[in-house]
Amino acid sequence: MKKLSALVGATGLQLTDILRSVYENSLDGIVISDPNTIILTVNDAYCAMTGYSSEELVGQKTNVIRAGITPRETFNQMWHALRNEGKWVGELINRRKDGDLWWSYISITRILGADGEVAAYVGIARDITERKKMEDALRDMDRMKSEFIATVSHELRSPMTSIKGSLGLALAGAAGPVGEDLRDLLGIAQNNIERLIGLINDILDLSRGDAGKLSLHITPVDLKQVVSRTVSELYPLAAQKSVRVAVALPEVLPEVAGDQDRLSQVLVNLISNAIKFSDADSQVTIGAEDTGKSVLVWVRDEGVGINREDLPKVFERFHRVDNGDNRRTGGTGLGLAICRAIIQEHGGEIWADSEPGKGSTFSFTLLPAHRVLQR
Amino acid sequence: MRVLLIEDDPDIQKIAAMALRFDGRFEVMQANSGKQGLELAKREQPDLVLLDVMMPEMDGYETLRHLKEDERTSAIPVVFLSARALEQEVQRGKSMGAIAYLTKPFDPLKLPGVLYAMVNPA
Repeated sequence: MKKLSALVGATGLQLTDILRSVYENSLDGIVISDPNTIILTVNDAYCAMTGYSSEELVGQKTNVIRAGITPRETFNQMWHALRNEGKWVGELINRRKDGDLWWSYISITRILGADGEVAAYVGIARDITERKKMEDALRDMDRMKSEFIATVSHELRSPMTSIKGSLGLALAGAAGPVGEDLRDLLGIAQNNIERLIGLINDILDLSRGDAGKLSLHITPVDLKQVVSRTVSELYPLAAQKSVRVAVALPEVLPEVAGDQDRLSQVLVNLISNAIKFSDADSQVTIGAEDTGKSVLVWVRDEGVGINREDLPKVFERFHRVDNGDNRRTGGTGLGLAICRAIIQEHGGEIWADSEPGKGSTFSFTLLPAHRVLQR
Repeated sequence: MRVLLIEDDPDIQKIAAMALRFDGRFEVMQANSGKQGLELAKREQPDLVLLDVMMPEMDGYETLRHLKEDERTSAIPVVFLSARALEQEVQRGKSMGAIAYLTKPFDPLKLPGVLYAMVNPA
C-alpha cells in the first residue's frame, strides 16, 4: 500500500482517478456486483465481450451470461475460495447475447465493507475463446497425427511382411539354390528391409511416447538378468566389430520398477550404439550403482566421443552426430529419443557425458521397486 | 502338425504357407476369409489356426469368436498374426482367447519354430 501511495504521489494523480481510468480503458472486462451477485456496473470492454449494453446488464445477476456448460464443480470451487480466501481465478464458459459461446479467464475478488461483511464482488475477465479454439485444434491435430502414424505403420506392415518373407525364404533356399552374387544382392535387400522395419517401429514408439501411450507394464525387474540377456543378444555384433563387452554390476542391486521389455529396448539401443561407435579392440562397459534414491545404470565406450555442443542434442529425434561415421554405423536417429521417452515414462532421467576422442557414457536412473510398488 | 492359415492377403498367405512347408513339420491348409476358414476348421480339425486380424466381411476377432462358440472348434488353439501392433490390440487379441498374438512382419524362418513350440511345449 505504501508503494502504491508513493506511486500515486509521484504521478500527481489520485488513486480513484487511476482506478477509474483503468476501469474505463482496460481491455479486460470488469464487472462489479453486490453481495447477491446483482450487477452494479460493467465497463465497455465487458459489454463488448458479452454483446450486451451496460443498461441491459446492470440489475441482472452475473450469471445472465453463463452458458450452463461450465461444470458445477467449478462454481463450487469458486464460491468456496471466495468465502474462505476472498479471491478466485478460473475459466468459465459463457454465452453472448447473440447466442455464441465464449470462454473467459476471470479473476474475482471479494470486497469487504467496514463492517466486515461482503460489500461487493469485482470480476476482471479476459476473452480466451481464440486460445481455447487453438488448444482444441492442436488436440485434434495431435489425435489425427497419432491416428495417421498408426494407420501408416499398419499399412506398411503388410507389404514389408511380403518383402521380408520372400527375401528370407529365397535366401534360405526355399525356392532353389542361390548363387553367391544373388545371395549378396538378396542380403542387401534383406538388410535394408530390416532397417525400414526398425524405422517404422521407432516412429510408432515415438508416437506412443508423445501420446503418453507407451503402455508400460511395471513390475519388479532384476536388472542383472536384463543386462545379461541383452549383452548375450549383442555379442555377435560386438564380435563382428572386435569390441569387448564387460559387465561391471555390483553384487547386490535392488530390483527396479520397470517394464522389462522396454528396459531391454533401452539397453539394446545404448549398448549397440556404444559398440557401433567403438574401434576394434576397445571395450564397452555396462555398470550400475544403487544410489539409495534410485538405481543408476551406465554404458561406457572408448569410442570417438561426442562434441560438447552436440551433447544436449543427442536425445533429439532424427539427430545424428556428424562424426563421419554415420553411413557406416547406420541407425535411424530415433533410438535415443525413444530411450528418453521410455526412461522418462518410468520416472527416471537419462543423460550423456563425453570427451571427444576418449569415449562417451550414457547413464539413466530408475526407481527401486520397493519405493514404487507395493509387494 | 496341421495348421489352418486364414489370411486374405494372397502374398502373405503364400509366404507363410511356404515358410511352414519349407520347415518340414507342417501340413498347411489355406483360407482366404474368416468364413472359409470356419468351414475348413470344422471339417479338417487342424492342430492350430493362424489367423489374420484385418480381413473384409468377417475380421479375425469375429472369426475367433465363432471358433470359440462352436464346440467342434472351440478347443483348437488360435494364434493371431496381425499388422496391428499396438499394445491394446495385442491385449485385446489375447483377452479373446488366442494363445498368442504375433505381429507382422514376421521372420519366415523363425515362425515355424515359434508355432511348433506353442503346440508342443518342451
